Amino acid sequence: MNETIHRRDILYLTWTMLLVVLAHVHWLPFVLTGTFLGLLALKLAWTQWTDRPVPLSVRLGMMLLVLALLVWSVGSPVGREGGSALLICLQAMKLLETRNRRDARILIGVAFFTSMIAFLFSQQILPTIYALMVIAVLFGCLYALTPNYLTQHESLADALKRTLPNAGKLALAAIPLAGVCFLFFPRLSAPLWGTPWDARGGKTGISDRMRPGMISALWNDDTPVFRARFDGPVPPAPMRYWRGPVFWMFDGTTWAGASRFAYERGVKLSFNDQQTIRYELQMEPTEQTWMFPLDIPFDSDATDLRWFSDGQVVSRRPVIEPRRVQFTSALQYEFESELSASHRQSALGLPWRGNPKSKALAASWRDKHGQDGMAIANEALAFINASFEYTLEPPPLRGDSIDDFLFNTQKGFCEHFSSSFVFLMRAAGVPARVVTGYLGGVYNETGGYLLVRNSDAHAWAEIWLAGRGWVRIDPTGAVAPDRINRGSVGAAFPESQSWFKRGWLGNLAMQSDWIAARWRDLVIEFNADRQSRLLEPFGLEKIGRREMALGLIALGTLALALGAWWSMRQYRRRAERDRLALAYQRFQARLGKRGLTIESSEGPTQTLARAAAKWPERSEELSALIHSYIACQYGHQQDADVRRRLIRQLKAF
Amino acid sequence: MSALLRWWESLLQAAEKRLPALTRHRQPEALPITLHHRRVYILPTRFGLFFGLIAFTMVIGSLNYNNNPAMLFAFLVVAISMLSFHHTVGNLRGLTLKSIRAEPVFAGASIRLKLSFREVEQRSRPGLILDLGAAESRLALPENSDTEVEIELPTMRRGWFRPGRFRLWTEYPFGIVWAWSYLHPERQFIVYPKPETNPPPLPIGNREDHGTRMRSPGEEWQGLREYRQSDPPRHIAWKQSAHADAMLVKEFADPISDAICLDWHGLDSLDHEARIARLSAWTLAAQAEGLSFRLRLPNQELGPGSGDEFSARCLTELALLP
Repeated sequence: MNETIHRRDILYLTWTMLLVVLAHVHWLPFVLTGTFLGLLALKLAWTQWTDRPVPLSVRLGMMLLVLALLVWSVGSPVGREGGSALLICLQAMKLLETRNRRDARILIGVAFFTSMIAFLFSQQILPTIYALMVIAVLFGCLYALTPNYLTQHESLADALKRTLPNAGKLALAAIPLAGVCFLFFPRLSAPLWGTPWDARGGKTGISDRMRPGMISALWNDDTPVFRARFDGPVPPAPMRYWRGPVFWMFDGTTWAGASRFAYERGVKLSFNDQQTIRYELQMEPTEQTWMFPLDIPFDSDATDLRWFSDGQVVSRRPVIEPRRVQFTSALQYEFESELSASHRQSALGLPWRGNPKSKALAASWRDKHGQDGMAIANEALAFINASFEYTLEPPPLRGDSIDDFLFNTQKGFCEHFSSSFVFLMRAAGVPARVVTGYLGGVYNETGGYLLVRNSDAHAWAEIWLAGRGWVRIDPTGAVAPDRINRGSVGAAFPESQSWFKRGWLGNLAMQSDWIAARWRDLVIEFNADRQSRLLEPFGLEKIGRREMALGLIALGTLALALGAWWSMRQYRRRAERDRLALAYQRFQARLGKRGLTIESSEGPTQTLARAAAKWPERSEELSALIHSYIACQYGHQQDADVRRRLIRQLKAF
Repeated sequence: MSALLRWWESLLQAAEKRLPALTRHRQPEALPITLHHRRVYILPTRFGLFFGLIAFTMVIGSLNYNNNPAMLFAFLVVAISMLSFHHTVGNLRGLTLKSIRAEPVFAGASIRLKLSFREVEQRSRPGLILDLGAAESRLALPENSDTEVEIELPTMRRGWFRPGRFRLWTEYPFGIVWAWSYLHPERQFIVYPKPETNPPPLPIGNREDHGTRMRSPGEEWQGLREYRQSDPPRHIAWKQSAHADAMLVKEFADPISDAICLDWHGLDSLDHEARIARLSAWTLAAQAEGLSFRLRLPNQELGPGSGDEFSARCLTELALLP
């Protein structure tokens, strides 16, 4: 059965491959997407123009080109991106040479796999729905490839019309079985082999260094980072500081964490027991280790967390799949009221070169206020408040960046403000550090949770005051109080928002986030543990592997039968016809009991004539019944309702 | 010993009940043949094995990474392919082979078998393939219909041609599995002997008198017999037919001298098959000229007669000569 396939089927196949690759465009490098589209176009054009195969030299050349582009754009063809890109490229090359049924089928088989690995990159609901629909198209393709002489001359449109509804119907019929497998197929509690990609730091989100532009890059990124569900009331907007990486070291341009604090365990915190708040963080996979608890956390249900003395909470493993963590945070606290000498030294460290004007300004404040850190901080905030401007598009900084910002451009956002504020504090002898994380979040009424996205990224400062410990100061608030009080960049700068984030579309976005959250809840986070608690609502205790396997077999068989019955239900019409014949037979038998023997050779018209003669008073009823039977059984009356009514009437007679 | 034999018999019976194609359907069976589910078999295709490997990898991979959307995806693919098994079998089940017809052919030519299938369940059956050894033919049945499919088979020898066991199979809908069933209809078709090419002229005495001469009614009248398709309309006895139930024709006794005789024994110089070929060629020639002739064979004598039916009978007898 290895015959050359029809041109129409090659077109079908090519467009299907396009659909398959569309699931990958969001991560695939532009170069490769372009190359892939080019190969598709080449195949389309080639198929239109000639029946001859694409020459080997062209294919080899393309192969080398594609491999070179692949290595150039994603690097090694191992790992998640590299492997997936390689598979996609090989698929395109296979398409280029596909001419016969065998190759076409292999290509579709591979395409199933390619479609599935898109879930390594996104597990959201829309990509999932898309991929599930692609299944129908792929099976439609296989359907079109079944040898069938009736369809040799049909057009692509006709082939789609013929194959897609059939494949779609089979897909619908298969949903119960797929559902049963999903619920009952025994899950692995530990993976058989490693994660699909090496956990080497995230691609998006807060990073472990703060360079100019790091946070502003996130403001365009609306992907959710986590959702928070509070046990009690949701804290007001100005309290929603989600603590992430803390930066101690500054080299003049870049802030970085302090490695020597990394293993100091615990947070030296004293707090008011009345002012604590319990909540659950539902983290999206950030591929990083940071947790983002509310300032300042002190307790959690997770056991794999490391608690740093500067208030960072870090997971031992990167968050590569959605996870939930419960935290308890103190809203009123005294944080590290005794500052150790080493901490003080770190919190005062500055590069000795550069930024002379800033240092001079800070020195003048120190001379004025002495040891009073709060007064110096207020002086700095007043200075910033006086003439600075909050903008998302600051001019670039040249030379001594702090000096240039403070005395020259004076335009910036949280990164600039927190960084220069901490610089000034340190220069004035007040221990200070930069804290990054997220500020705010949008409350989702439908879901009852607070949604925090990458666009909520923020940076602020902490200074250490004698007797009070670390105190949070947000210099951005001095310039743009709305940023803090309303809780989002968008609220502070409505004009900066895209049109689709405002008004009813914004509400729609919240609704869809709720759907995304439910999806995460029900599907993405379903695991071995939740599977074993599956039957709890039905009053059954945890079920084990054996019960799971039995359930899978029993319900699977049922679902398979159900699907087969539904997808093959067109055959039931015949059964109905048989029921009609049976009903008529019984009707004849009843007539026989009443004294009208019916010959086996006798047709319904003769029966009617004799019955009407025997029972003239019921002749009209009999005539209607028998004529209706003739119309249904021998005529063109195909209406199922009429048929069913007739069966009832025959039974009732 | 007899216990062992009985045991073997019962085992065979059981096997036959479960797997009729292994035993019973090697034997020809009478038409019509309906493919019920017990005689439809199913196995994965080579692509099906590859597909199974892919599906297995998908399930294991998604389980390993506990990637639930991927798992949904993989299970849906598996579920659809499992459902398709039912459709593959269903594409054959309930199909009926009603009849097989074929025009007689001469040995060496291909015989065109016309198999007519009936679809009584209301569904279309696309992508069916009928094969018999090297010959293959595709068919598709629209809902609730009869379809005739032709399959051409080469013939080698004169005599009875038994097509043997057909295989009807399908990969519908996805080519993952193929279902097949064997059909071994108990039918045989005659294959005429291959006529001699460029045979010598017919052994005719007074050629001019024959074929063109009109007979007048009453002349050498013999009796009435039932109408046959090959009878010329002018022989129909209209008056007598009006009184009887059937159509009657007048039969004339051909004067023996009138008919040419194609005599087996007169061809001593040729060997067995060559004689048959010569006689076949002459029969055809006589038929073409509309002559009345007799065929004398080693064991019987046919005719005298004329027309398509008679010559078909002659060719059949020639074909069946030992």
